[in-house]
Amino acid sequence: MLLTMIEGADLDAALAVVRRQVYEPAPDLVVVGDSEDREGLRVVPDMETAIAGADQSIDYLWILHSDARPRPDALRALVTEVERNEAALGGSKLLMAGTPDVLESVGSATDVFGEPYSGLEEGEIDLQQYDVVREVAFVRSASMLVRRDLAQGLRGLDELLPPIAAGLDFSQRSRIAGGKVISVPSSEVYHQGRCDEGAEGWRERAGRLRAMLTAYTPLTLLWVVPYDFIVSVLDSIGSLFLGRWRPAARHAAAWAWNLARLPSTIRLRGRNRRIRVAGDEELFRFQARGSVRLRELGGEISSRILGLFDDDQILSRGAKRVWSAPGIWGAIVAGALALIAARSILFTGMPIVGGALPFEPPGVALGRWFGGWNDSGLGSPAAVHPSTLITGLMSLITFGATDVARTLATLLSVLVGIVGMGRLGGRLGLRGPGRYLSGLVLMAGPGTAILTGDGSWTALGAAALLPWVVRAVLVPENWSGLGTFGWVIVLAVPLAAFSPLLVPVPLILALLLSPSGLRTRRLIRGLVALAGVLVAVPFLTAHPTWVTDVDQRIAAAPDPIWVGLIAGGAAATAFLADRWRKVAVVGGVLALAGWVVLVLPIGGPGVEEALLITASLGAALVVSAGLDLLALEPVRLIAMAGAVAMLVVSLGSLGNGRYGLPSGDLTERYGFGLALAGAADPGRILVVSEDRALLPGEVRSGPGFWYRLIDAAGMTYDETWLPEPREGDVALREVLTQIAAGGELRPGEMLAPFAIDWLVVEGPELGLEAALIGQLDLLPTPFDTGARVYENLSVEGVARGESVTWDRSGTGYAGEEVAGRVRLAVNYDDGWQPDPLADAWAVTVDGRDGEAVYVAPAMDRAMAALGPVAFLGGLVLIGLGRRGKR
Amino acid sequence: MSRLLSLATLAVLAVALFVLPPPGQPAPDAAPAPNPTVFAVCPVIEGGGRSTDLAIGSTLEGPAALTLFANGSTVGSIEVGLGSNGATIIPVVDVAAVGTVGGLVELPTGAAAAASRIQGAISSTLETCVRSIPAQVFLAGGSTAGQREMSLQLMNPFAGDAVANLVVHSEAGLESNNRFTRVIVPSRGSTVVQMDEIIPGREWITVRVDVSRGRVAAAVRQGLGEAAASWNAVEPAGSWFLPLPTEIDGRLVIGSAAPGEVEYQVDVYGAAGVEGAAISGALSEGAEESLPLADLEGARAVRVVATGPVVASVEVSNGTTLSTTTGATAGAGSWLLPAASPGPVRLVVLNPELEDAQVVVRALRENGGEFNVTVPAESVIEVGLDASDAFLVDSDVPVVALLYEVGETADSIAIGAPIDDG
Repeated sequence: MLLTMIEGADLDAALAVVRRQVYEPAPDLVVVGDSEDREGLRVVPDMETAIAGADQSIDYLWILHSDARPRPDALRALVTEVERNEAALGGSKLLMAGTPDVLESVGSATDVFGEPYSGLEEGEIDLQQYDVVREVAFVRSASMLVRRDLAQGLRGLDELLPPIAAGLDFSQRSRIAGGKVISVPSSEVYHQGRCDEGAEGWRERAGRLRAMLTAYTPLTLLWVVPYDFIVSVLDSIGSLFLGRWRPAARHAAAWAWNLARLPSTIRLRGRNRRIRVAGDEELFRFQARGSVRLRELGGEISSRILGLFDDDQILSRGAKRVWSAPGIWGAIVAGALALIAARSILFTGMPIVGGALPFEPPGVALGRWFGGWNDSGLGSPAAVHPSTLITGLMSLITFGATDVARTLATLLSVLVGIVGMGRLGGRLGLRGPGRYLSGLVLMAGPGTAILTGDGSWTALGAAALLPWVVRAVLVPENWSGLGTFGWVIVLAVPLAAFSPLLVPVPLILALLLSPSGLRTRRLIRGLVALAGVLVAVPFLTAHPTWVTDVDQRIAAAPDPIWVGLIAGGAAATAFLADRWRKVAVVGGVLALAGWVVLVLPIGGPGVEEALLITASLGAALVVSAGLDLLALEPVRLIAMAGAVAMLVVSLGSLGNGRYGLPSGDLTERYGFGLALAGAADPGRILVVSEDRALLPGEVRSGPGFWYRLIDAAGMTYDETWLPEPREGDVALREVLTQIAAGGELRPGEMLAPFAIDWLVVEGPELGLEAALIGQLDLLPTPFDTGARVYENLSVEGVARGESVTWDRSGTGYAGEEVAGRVRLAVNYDDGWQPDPLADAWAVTVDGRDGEAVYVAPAMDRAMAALGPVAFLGGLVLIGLGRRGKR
Repeated sequence: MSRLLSLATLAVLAVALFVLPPPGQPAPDAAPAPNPTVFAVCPVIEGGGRSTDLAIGSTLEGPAALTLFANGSTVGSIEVGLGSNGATIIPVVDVAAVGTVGGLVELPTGAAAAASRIQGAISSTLETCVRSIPAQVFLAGGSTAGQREMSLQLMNPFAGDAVANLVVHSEAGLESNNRFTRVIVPSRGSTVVQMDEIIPGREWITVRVDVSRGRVAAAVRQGLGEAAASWNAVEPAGSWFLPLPTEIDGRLVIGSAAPGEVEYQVDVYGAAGVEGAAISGALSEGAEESLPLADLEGARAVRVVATGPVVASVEVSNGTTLSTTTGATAGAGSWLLPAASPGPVRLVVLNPELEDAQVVVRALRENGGEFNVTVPAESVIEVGLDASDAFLVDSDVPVVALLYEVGETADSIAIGAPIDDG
């Protein structure tokens, strides 16, 4: 018997237990490892020496860890069953020491990568349910009986491998040597598990990889190694998604360790080749299909996702009373409705309209945020909208697949909003279906629907995140620590990136919804949430009229039907118990007060956006309270009726299949600019209309019409917002006034310096068109878009030199190197390099470098970093909070 | 928050929302006041024994340009500067030998005008070039009877192609011919519709030009033997003024442009003052009434008032000469009369107002003089002037000015171009 020394295990106790074995004759005992000499005991330094030194008269070797405590009949059972089954290797049933017969191992299957798959539930009690002798892929080395001749042929366990991997390796080598590997449940061993510490560590993973590399034939390795590499990558990514970084490090270490030991692995393979009598098929017989690790990862991810809807963890506990779980069916119905509401997005793709525009490539979007040129209109050094940062990160996560990022973000937004309302409702003590269904009202309610109907994509993101921030602020009584502040910041930063002026809402709700004992704590967190606005500081400081200018608003007005429903629903719920009354009344007041401020009117489009989303949140709170408990009581029935009515009206907004976003494809509608430009610079398109809703993004007021410039190569998300007018914008406005007044024979020539290649008139006929009847260089060009399109016959490029035109490159321009200067038809700023000179309102740069780049002042770049730093600070706080808990 | 307070708060907010007015819808800035047109479109004939001089008159100095366009391209252009006298003459032959084309004159200011004088061997026509190009214009007074030639020139100097439908009426009724429908006038080109070839033998012809896409300027040229006249198709209106030179023969033509019946009356300005409704009648759509000037004995000017849109013109003819011009729809304080006159001309000024007009007449030429004249209320004066590139008439009350030129072999008549609404 070979007793393997395990660090920390009590050898004397182990010897005492071994000596109580009832097997006759008593086995010869050899201690393997570092141990002081004891009387009557032979101590050998390693397993290979011990096996080699075994007497030829011995039939079997029992390899036992010193942290294992076998029952007295364990050895006898092993010998009996191994002989009866003519096996070469048998393993004991391992039970966890110190527990009421909790199973640790009854032999395992593996997947093709050696990942053990025991099929045991965590904490599963031994009720003899596995008490049948069967062949297995491997048995643990904690207690295994092996034929002496086989052990000597295999030269024992691989000393480089940790225990589990060593057992796997030994079992696999036994099997390819033609031996049967069986599990012997009647041989029971209590295992202290000291050898298993770090079982999920990189050494075990590296050991499994080595076992795989030494056991399989080259043909199998040809596909299994790349397959394993892919699994490692997916496991790493998936684990990162779950907030775990260690698996990625373990995979990397495992591969590095094996690479370093490749020579010894090759030597082992040579040794195994000499003893091989069976093919890999013999190993495959006992292996599970696919990857056990990926299956576990998938299970964990789905469990986490389900857990989002399942506060009570009914699903994750696998309870059979799922359908009686509070909120579950509300969540499922809401999710199903959200899915149906996304049908157009799923089948025909995202609309490209209003403010729902394609993302820029991640490098460009992030570059634009961190001090790049704002290319909207005639350009500006002013910061782009902070949500551009989010779009850049999303595109980065999808490896530059911007359309995928946009679609996923849109689809997820409504689900996140639904779950957010559900979790917020849970935090407010609600348990019924209304809390999840109210998510639909949040995403398509009275305010959000107006914004999305106007093409605002940011409204979806902001509405989706708002309940999460409110929830993070409304901490329960027993929650404290840095982590709670971290979550507030981590959620408030993206919220502010979508809608900067929404961040005070959690503070207001903390004031209105907190019991007096919790109010201070929550108000502090509400104040911390205000830090989220740091991400929007560059935008707000550069774009003050977005906050202040009433004339830039879309002039949304409250719908009397919604006013009635919210007031009626909240009033009816006010007659219910406190739990519902408070939520409904606060929601109703929030929505109605938001609207009152809206109609006063105060503030610019940023304020309007925040008030509209707040109104939707208020309405959603009324619905969540009204539908929390379904009962046939008169007052509750009225409250329910109001809530259902609000839900139905919201579904009407969602019903277009695009989450309320308008239909349309601006890229296709204005695609003629790019298509007809050929190799030339497509320039810009001047779009004008009497109806501002027909123009994408923000617009400027012109002489008798609204107008804006768009990039003829295709409008991108960052162009939704127009920066404050600069000298070029003023000049363009003057030119438009001259043209609109009529009498200009060559308006195209006047528009050419602005790189306007096309003029598009949308909607009703304009006075401008009458002025364009008698002119010489704007050619009416019939396209079947319904718009009136004029081609400018006097074109100039956006970036043009004496004999060259440059194209866009990142956030700047690049092209052929020329000796002269290159004029950029953008507003002048001395940040343009190299050697910027003003050319009226435009800028010229030295063309010898072949590129023009904009270098923002250091202060601007520092301000752009405020939000990300705050976010990372939040993450650090979360980490510190978790460490504190441990 | 107590239940009562909750309900009260909700009620107050809801009521406030029903009481407060919704925010006003944002509106774009006001459209600017329209600028005066700074171009004019002129018919040009060069070749075939005819030659065109373009006269440009302006109240301000500045550059002017002539671009001749045909078949979608520019066939010739010239830039000229208007000197201190404010007028110039561009002989088209110096620019290009182009046949029948359109000419676009870029004027230095809105207070400027151009006129086209087409000189044949023994014929001469003069007509102010078109400065306003509405979507519908109308002309009356044409004829293809006998040896009369009639051609309609549709000119489109602009960037886009234009499409026009011609609604042609004659004594035969509404003329139906596919050459009148969807007439395409290419960008920077002109289309000549030879009416005498399409509908010969018509005693009278009216043409309404309905432009469905783009814009076209329309001018008609009427030939009678060696004599010729040209005038513009103009936007129909309910009121027209026509000063009449003394001692002329001819006729007053009134054509109805609108569907349905239009009643009209002709007020005559004579030596004895205004005789209201001297003649009246009714016209159906596309019909014209030809009133011999001889029947308007003593008439120095006429005003045609109608219940619908009509066009009034005067044709001067003595059997060998022929000239025509349309009237003016209103009086104005300033008139430009580009003339390119080779000889003396007669200026006829009508004061339709109830007060006397102090009129200053300037000859826009080098060393051109000026003189003052008083035009009594509701009366007409006629003054003889020496040859000049153009004439400027300024008045303190709105008047109507017309130029009449009697040559050795031909005469020409042209209404002036108002440059001030008065």
